[in-house]
Amino acid sequence: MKFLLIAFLTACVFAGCIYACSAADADRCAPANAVILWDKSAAGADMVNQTAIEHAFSSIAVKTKRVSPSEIGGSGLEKINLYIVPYGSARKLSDAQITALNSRVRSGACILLDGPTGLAESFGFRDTGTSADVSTVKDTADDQVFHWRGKVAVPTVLFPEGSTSVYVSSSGTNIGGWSEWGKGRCFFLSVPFDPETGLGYGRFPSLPAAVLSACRLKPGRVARDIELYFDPGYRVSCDLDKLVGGWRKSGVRVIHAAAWYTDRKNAYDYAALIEKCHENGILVYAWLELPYVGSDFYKAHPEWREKTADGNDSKPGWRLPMAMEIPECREAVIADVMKLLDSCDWDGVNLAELYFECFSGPEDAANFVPMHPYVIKEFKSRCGYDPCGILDPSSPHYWKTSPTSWDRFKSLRAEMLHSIYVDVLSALDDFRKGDENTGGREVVVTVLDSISAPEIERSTGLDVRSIIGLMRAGKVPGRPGVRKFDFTLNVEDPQSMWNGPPGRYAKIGSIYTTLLSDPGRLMLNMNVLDFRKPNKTPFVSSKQVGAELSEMITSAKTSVRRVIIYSESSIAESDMGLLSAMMATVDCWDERGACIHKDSPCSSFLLVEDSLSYVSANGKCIQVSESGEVPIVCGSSGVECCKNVVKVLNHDVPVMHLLNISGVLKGLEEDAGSLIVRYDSIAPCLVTVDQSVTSLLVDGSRSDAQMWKNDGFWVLRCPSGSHEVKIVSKSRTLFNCQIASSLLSHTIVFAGCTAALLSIALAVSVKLRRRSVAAGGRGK
Amino acid sequence: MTTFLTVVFLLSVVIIWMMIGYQFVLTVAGYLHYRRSSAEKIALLSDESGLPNVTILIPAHNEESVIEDTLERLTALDYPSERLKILVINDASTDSTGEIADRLAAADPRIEVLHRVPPEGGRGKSAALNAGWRTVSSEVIAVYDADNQPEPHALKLLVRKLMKDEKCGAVLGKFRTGNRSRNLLTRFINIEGLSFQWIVQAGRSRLLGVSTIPGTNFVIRRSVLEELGGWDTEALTEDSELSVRIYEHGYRIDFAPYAVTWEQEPETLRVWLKQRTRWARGNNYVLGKFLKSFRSFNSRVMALEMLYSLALYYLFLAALLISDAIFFLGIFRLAFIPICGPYTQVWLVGIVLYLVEIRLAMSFEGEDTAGNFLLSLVMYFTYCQLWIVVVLRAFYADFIKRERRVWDKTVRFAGTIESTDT
Repeated sequence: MKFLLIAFLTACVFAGCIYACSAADADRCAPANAVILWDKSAAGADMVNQTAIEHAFSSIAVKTKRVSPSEIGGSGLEKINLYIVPYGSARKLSDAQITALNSRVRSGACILLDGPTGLAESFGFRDTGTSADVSTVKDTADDQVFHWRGKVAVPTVLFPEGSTSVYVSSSGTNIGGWSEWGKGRCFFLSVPFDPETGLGYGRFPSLPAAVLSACRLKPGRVARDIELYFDPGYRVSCDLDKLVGGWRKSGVRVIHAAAWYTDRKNAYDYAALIEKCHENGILVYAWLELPYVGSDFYKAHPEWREKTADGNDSKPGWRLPMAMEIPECREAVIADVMKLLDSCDWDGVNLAELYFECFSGPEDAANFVPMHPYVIKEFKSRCGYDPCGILDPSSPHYWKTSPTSWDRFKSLRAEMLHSIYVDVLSALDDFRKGDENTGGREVVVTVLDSISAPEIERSTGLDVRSIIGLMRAGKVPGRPGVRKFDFTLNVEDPQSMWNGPPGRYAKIGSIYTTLLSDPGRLMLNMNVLDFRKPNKTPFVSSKQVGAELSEMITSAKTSVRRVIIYSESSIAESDMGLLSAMMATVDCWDERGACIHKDSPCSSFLLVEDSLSYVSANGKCIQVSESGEVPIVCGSSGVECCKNVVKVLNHDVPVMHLLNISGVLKGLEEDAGSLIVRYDSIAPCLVTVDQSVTSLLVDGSRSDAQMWKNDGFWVLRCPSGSHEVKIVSKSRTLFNCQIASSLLSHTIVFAGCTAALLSIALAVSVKLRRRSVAAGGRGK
Repeated sequence: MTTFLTVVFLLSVVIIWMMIGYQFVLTVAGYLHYRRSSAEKIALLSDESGLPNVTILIPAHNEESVIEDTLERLTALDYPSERLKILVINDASTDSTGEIADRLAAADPRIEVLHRVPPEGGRGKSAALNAGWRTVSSEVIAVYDADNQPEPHALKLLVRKLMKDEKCGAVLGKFRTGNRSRNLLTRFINIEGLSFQWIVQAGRSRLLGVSTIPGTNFVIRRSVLEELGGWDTEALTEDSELSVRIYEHGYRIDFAPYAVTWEQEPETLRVWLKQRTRWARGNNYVLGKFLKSFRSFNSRVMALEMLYSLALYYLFLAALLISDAIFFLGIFRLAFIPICGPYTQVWLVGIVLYLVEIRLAMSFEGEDTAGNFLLSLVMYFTYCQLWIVVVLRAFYADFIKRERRVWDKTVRFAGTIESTDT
């Protein structure tokens, strides 16, 4: 009996081990948990450099905790998977600290080093003692070229054999890359990262993305509220499944699709695009570029084409503008737009760049608009002379010499533009209201920032204040007798400002926030375009990439909730993958032990460690999704390990997870087989979950919401507004059965392993007994 | 529907694993029985107290291929000649069984032959045994099948164990497969036989004090037989039927695994299927006969045994079929049950448990070889699954087709007992 007891206890222990191994979760890509070795005494370039590195990583939602070199090797850093050791700090490390860092990396962590130091040498990056002047660097991973401002003497460093090159100079010298070190990896730059700007985009703007990719890490949180412009003209013969799937993975919330590809011969299939986007939980808005309607319309109505003073058709750029100041033309254009909006299941509309396009203003007399005969006639009837004289230096009404004439013309132009807006917004208001099935839709009006750039108003007639005067959420008083409309204002910085520092978006945001009673109805428009020439701007890249882009987004999100980027095709591939992390950086996270707190107007998703299957968010236990994500509601949240033992035990019961939501998440609860979601959404709210839905209750009433099934997830369209929806995936009985099933199967596996091991122990004892009997017999 | 299927599936899992769990408890109890019986064998062999008169009954119907070897072996038993009588019941044999028995009886006074001819003869084993025990007067009756070759001490050990306790109505020994190396089937049967005896028989004996007479290699008090009125001639598995009645009359059956006989097992699948179907039908008969009144059973353990038999044959089978059906419906996407938990591991643990339990049982006989381990793994997917066919055949014959139960003699194979001494 004694033997049985011992064997049983031993079997229990072994079975526990086997069970634990069998029940272990599958590997997940870990969220980056970084520390930066901070040198408090650093000054000058060293301080700028370490600030730049910290800034670059924190702007893509990577937690970077500052630690002093003396903390290396101590306890509390076991979970750190990325060590960032700036050049200044690395130079001051002792041999013991270098050994400790080597050991951490050898056991699986990653390390980022910049500049040749003893620490870099310990990882196999050997300084040859020579250097070469470098001014152009190529990012081989993303095929981008960075033109540094002036030549930099880059030390020639021999990279370890088998290392992967990421940055090379124009002469082909490897100046950045990584190599394996034990179970970990070491990423090395031959020169300090950015000792000049302190913002992280002075030399290697794409470094954070490159390091995360090399170290197989991901950011610590994401906010999937990216809005992108999409122009089908840049994606001809593109696989729609792949394109939209890519957007979903990048965290795109809304696609503003160019809606002027309506020509009979080459009409774009908007219905297919919208269906595919909805399947992927993405809203689609019709992006209008009035007064351009489309080629067919333009060809069909030469009499309505916008004209210049010499009677020619206006051709200011790629757009072919119609003279919407003509009431008949306006009516026809609006009818055409409404036909397009009614033909598909759009979730909103973006009325963009509606003004009289002529950015050079009256100085460019040949292209100045509006000078359609209708305008000339109207002006004549009002003022008694031909407005063309305003553009004629020999005329007494020339704009430079006759401010009165110029003011009269501007007044008429502003009036006409106002009327156009009122009529278009009136028509769009019916579309906005939607119907019972779709719920309300959103109307966005995109305007150029004529407050920061007053010349816009002078040249195009667009006055943002006048537009805000039409907004229901605007604080600016409207014109007497003109009703206000429900739309969101999207402010775009004019091209003349594009070479400004990324921080300009914070300023623009703060200006417009004061003009709106509801800051939620304000968004900022940024353009990512290949427009810079080498060494002509303070930036190293031809377009906004990496740390510069993340800085732009971070800057914008300090004052506004929403950001829209032009365009999905121009953003660098490595940036697309990190956009949702850039969007999440504005959240104020404050680590206090195991808890993380934030205060944000946006909802986001927290990416947690492999070991966590449940977290408690605001006291409510939420199961972590398979991808390791936890939805966090807007406002203040406390996140910590869940202490609900019963729930944690049932971690393999497939609870429905919220994978994404296009609205602002205000509340989330798990209730047996259901999910209770509270949200705010101007447009229809697309809710993505990971289980099929059997029923949906909106504010307690059963609803037949439209649902799309995709590969492993389901998307529901919930009504716009503020609502509480209960998404039911299974009955309570089935849920209880699943808990019972989980407990039962785990018990069986544990008990079975114990029993099997006990049986093996008994068999061994029998064998030994038989052997000893046989040996005894031989002995006798 | 999904919820219903999930509930049914879970119930199936519970039933299957309750049975597996019980089987494991029996395995451990079997181990304890093994430990005890080793010492008991030595004690019984050294016991020098007197032995009672014993008559060995050998029911024989067309056993010409094996009867001579069996009788030679029985006459060589280590038992006082003057107290041993061997009665061959030649039950309407149409071959030379009678002549061979008569010839051997003429040479050895301990052998007697009872010739039974139709209509009395040829009505099955129970009828033959009833005819046999009523013609003899010895205190103890032993039964061996006509193909058996008991080891020399087997009878003495059984009798001594029986005489130890008056409440012990019968003692059964262990049977071994004499033709186990003949082919794959007999190897499987060898593993099955040893596992059954060391897990089910020894385990139940140690845990509950319950054993079931196997039909051969057992001794029973004549007084008990008289009290019970002999064997039930309607029963196809007269041994298990008799076991129930022994317990019901307040007696006990002991299992003495050290008393060994070697017997011949079916060498073809057809013969095996026939024999096992007869056993399963016999079990149906016993269940039908006693289940109605099991609540009023005197022996609680035997009542429990009744339920266990019912569960083993039908509840377990139903659970297996249901879980298999749900599995296949799932494969063809006809049904989906969103079960949670590590069911692959559950299935693997089930197989591992089966393998290690068998290995433990085989180790008691020193047959825990790698070859037998592999064979038992193969058995899981082949031989064990045939059990489903057997039970379904018996169910069909008894409850759907309602066929009359007729004794069907197992076909013997000449000269296939290879080794008979342990």
